[in-house]
Amino acid sequence: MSPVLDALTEDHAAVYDRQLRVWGVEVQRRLIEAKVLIIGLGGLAAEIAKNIVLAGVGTVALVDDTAASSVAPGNFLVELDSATGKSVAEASAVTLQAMNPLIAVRVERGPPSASALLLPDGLQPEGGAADQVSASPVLTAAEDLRSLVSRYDTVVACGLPLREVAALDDLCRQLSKQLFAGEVRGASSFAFVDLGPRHVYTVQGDPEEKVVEYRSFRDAMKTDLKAVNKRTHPLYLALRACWEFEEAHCRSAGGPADVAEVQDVAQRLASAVPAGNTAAAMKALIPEALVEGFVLDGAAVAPGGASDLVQEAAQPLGELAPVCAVVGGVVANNVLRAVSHFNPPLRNLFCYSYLVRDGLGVEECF
Amino acid sequence: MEDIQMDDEERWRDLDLLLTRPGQLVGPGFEPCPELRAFLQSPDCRVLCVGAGGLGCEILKDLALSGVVHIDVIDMDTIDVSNLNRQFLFRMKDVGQPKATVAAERINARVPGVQVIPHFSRIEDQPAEWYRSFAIIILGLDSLEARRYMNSVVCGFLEYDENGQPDLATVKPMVDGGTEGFKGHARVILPGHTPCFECTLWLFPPQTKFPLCTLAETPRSPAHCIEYAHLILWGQVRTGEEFDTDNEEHMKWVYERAAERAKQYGIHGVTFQLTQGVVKNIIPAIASTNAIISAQCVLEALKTLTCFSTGLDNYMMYVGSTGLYTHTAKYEKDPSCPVCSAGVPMEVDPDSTLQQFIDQLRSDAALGKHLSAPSVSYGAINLFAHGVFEAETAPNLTRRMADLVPDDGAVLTVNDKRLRGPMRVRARYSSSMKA
Repeated sequence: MSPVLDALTEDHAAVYDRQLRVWGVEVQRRLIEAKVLIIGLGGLAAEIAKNIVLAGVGTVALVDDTAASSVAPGNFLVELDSATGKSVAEASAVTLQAMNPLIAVRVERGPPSASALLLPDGLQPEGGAADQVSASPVLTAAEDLRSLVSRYDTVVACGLPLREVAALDDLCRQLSKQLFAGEVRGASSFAFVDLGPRHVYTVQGDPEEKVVEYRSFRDAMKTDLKAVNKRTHPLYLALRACWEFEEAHCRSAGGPADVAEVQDVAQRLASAVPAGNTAAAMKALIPEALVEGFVLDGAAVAPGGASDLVQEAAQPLGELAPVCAVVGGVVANNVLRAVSHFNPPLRNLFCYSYLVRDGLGVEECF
Repeated sequence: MEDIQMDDEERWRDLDLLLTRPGQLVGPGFEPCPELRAFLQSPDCRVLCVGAGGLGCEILKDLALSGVVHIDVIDMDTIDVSNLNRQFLFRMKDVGQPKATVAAERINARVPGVQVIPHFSRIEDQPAEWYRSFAIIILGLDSLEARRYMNSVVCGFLEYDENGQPDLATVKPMVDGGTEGFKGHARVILPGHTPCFECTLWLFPPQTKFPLCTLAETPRSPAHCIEYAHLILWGQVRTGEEFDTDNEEHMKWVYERAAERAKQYGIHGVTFQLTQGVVKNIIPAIASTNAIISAQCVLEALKTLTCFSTGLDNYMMYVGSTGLYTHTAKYEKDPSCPVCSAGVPMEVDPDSTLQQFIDQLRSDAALGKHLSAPSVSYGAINLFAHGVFEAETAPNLTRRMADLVPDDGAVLTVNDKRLRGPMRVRARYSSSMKA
């Protein structure tokens, strides 16, 4: 544990002046003590990283060994001219560290994914994985990721396939770490927050601690559809449809060939919702164009095989800069709340699409 | 050393998905075609970003990454260390440099192909015609006065046709963003269609001004003590010296006098930080709110330029302090707005006097029959009023019109006992109207 700072230095006070006037010295101190791990550095993650680095989170670690030459176009942190030979994480770290020399930006080795946690069919992750005799590469990679996560308080993972989000979420819950996951796919985007079964926080002017329970990503994807009504953001059903597709096919939905199937699943889900009992109601619940866009504008489908091929094909190409900035701002605000335990963080799903309801950003709990 | 290049198609794939596909959720009149991106990246599509601070840095980034090429940025300020917590284009070594210049340099260096031109100047120092050359103007300002100025310039371009409809060719779209702490707003202004700033001036909270008697006789809060030292004591003790908020010795002097006064009255809470906040009118600010609001503004600008989605109609507020709340309101234009409403057009010689203008009204073929003894006002200001204020406003009658009403195209309100309601006249200055 890093030593508690007795007082902010003069440098901190000068640079952070405008934000100290927003959240105060105590919150700033907690931010300085926080350690956040960011897995994957596409456009959305770059925005989140920028915001939490500027806010003064004390340790920000980046994981993305993709070659900088293949960086997602939306990651504005990478300076292509000086990035030859560097990984995306290394190149991004240079810019982030320059943005705020008062904190520590680190690079950790590893791919921008949690696929190591996905075991072959039939194998379930056991609690006592440490006593597996044969150290297969998959299990070693899983152990590496587990060890990496254990050294931080909070994990931010953007653009991962939904099965990987679930697996990473399971790991975080096991290790009592906070998780923020999300993705921007063209006009639509979502962010998911899991702060564990018992998140404690306080509110301005009230010394009494409050406790709130977060559910897992798996639960959110499988919860009773009775919770869905006319006011639920349609992206929730789109997300669930993509989840079901992934469970059935062990790969992400992507590309025109998958659209029809995802739309079928979405329709089936909508019809199971009490409010979706008419064709018109179903259409209102989940506009076709939304699902189509969500499937097409996401990351390209990984063909499977050696890791180099995966990296080349799976670039998130559907990230629109301003959408990344909006979601990046919302996620960053909530990371700051989560690590400082001040004010109730988002619970637990944020959906935003400027194609829906005049771009209303909706926070819902599943 | 291998040159890392990305081909155009790959680089703008996400933008092309938006601009070359039809859809059910697009804006009215949307025609998907590759020409749309070509237009966005052409010299015909110049975008102006007013301000290179908290909002400006984010706006420039989002515009450049969204494919806009020809961007101008204007800002009269230099970089301060307190900017660094959110104005991410700047570094410690840039402190003291002009914001516009450094911001443009950074964006030009990072985004291949973009051409950001900086203007280190006050917005008032650019001729109105310069603003007309932009396809859209995005505001990242931090004061009401600056917004009102930009509003009057942009609405000044607006012309109405004989049917009282806005001439679309003269409608200059403007997007405005503002933030404070966790709160912010984004709005779209289409002069003649949506309300302009003046129409909705009541949206802005009243500026905190303490009564002088409170400051002088009965202070109760630390802010009272600070403003006493700043507004009253400084003038009395350091006569002739102009107070400079950037001068540390001046600020320290005010802080010490304020602390003395607070002690005298048993008031707690005067700190140097608060003194700075009160005297400089500091707005608390964080990076994330600026990111969100700027992004919303750029999205609206892109929609206005290409119609790929229906635009915000017309005001979005955002509150992110304890949860997440946004609300979109469709505010209505004020039909009698002194800045953007139609009014009867009249050509006026700028050198003519107010008396001559009134004579012109009375002798006008269409308007004169409604008038016997008209009073004229400009917004809330009485230029000449019969009755109670006659003596007070009489001196204005011999003053030059252009001095009394500097804005060309301003709407003047004419009242007369013969009229049923106020008559609005849009005065367009023209030297050919020599009396």
